[in-house]
Amino acid sequence: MRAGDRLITFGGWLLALLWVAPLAYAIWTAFHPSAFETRFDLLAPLTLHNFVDAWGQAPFARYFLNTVILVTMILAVQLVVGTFAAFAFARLNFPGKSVVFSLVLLQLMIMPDVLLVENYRTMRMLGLVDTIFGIGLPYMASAFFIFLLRQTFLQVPTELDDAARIEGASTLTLIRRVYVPLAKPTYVAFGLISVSAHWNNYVWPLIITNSVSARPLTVGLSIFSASDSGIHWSVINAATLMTSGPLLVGFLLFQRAFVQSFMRAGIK
Amino acid sequence: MTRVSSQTQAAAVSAGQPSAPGAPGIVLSAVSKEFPGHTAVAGVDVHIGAGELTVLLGPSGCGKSTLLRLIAGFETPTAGEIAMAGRSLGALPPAERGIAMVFQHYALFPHLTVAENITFGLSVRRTAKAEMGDRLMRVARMMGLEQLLDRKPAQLSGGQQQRVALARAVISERPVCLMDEPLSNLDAKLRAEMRVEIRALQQRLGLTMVYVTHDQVEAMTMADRIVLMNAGRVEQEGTPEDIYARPASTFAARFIGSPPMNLIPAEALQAGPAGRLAGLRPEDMHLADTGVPVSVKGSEYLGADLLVTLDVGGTEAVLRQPARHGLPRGERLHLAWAPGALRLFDAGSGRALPHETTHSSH
Ligand SMILES: Nc1ncnc2c1ncn2[C@@H]1O[C@H](COP(=O)(O)OP(=O)(O)OP(=O)(O)O)[C@@H](O)[C@H]1O
Ligand SMILES: [Mg+2]
Repeated sequence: MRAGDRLITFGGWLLALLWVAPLAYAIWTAFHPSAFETRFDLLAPLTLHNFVDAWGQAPFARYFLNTVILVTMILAVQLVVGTFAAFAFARLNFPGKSVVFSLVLLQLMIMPDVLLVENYRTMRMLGLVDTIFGIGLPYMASAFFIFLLRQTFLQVPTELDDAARIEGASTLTLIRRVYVPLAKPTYVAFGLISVSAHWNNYVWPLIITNSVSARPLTVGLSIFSASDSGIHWSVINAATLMTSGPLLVGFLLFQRAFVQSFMRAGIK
Repeated sequence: MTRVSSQTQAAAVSAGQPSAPGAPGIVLSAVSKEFPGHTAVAGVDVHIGAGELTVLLGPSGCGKSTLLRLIAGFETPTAGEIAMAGRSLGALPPAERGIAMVFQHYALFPHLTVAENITFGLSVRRTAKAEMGDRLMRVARMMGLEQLLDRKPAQLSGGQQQRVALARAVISERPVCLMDEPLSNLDAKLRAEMRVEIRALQQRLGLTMVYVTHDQVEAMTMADRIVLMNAGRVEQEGTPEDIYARPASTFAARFIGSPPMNLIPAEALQAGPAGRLAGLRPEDMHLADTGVPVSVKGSEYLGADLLVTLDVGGTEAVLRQPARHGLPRGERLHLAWAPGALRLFDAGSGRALPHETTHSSH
């Protein structure tokens, strides 16, 4: 029993170390002169020069802006669309409901990568190639979120519907004042998943964008590091830290709130 | 329209008067509700008296909740009409019917505090903040909830949650209150207390109340009138005394009373021809020196009373007598009953027969 516990603890530490090693290396190189890329020396001089270099060599500010706009836009539309769709599937009766819902489920089964080419054709038809909106559009109706939220909504006792309706609440009021607050943990959890997924999404934006004005951080970073102008690892790693940094810091800051939200989800 | 009336009621309450002086009566005419492949309510005619507490009583699945939801407007009848204060309700939405409702599982919003739960309706209807606060304080004091206003429902006991649900109904100052088994989740002691409290509240505020339960004790202790339902139909309607003393059918005879009325083939009591059932309440029977011969099969001690199970010509019957009389001794026991206590039913249809045809053994 105790030996088993120790094994699990050991395994956990091992995995954590494996996961953190590249990050640690990136941090090491980013804060030291390029001479220390492959040399570990505790007394090596610290520097921010790599960051300044990276920032100056590519339009990272623009990439940041693009990514923030992209992620915010996708999340906002996902939440609104998902809320209404989930409520409709959970509580309303309309003709064709089961057919439409099975279409949503079908979307869950399909890997997004399969649709890359088809999506590109659609975006070109809509004239949205190389726009931020074009990057986001295919992801705005998240089948996963609709499904997840529908399951949450289904757990709300219908007695609460009746109690709200008899007090004069409209469907919109009911959603806003009863269903959404009760599903808050689901919103938080999905928000986390959505933001990190789209912040880090790479292949699709790479395909659909070809200019600085639309390009998100991931694509910008890869172009920056692939350019064979003899850029040092330390600069590349500084750029990498810059791009993933805000997400990392944000999650560390809000970690407590997230965990609490999930705990509360367990109670109610 | 509803606004004006609720304001006049608010004025009435602050003047220390009943909040619903003009609480309306409700009339259901030939109301039916069919669900796909199932008739939940079949041709129900009921008068719910203004300012009265009417209990819808019946076994599980007999359509009580459905009937209540029809009155509330959550469901629309497939046939028939519901009228309130002389006006047909038609397809009027629940919120515009002037009714408040207390739900079986309280239906408190888990994410809102007690205060927010109670004022939910007022804030949805955009009542002014000051008025909302006044009414909240008044109702909280009335229901003894002042100390709990900042708690969440999960931090309350069952009885406290029940109070909050009641407070939410009371604060609306609507003249009609519907309750669907509001006490079924409480323990026996609390249930007995809340029975008294709800009844007192209803009388103090002059509410027209429709109260659903399957517990006949609740019905007997609280009701002005009982509507006894069975399989979607009204079996009998009347005051508790009426239904207890003169059950209209064997179903009513067996459903009301604890233990229920004894049903014994009439010829075994020499009280009528074959094909009749004689109904006798346990407390109306006694053991005597002459009468119908019976034997004792067992007994149950209840403190004040003793329930004696008898064999009457092959049928079991229960007799209630003061426990201090002790279990009767002797081989040759005889059953007698109070004059006028015996009711006759048709064994086939189960309907009660006119009282004149019955006669006592004395
Ligand atoms: N929405 C519905 N769809 C189909 N059948 C229903 C629906 N609501 C109720 N019923 C059926 O109608 C009948 C009456 O139900 P109802 O809930 O009114 O019974 P009840 O008297 O309140 O019973 P209980 O004491 O168990 O609450 C039941 O057989 C039930 O299955
Ligand atoms: Mg019910």
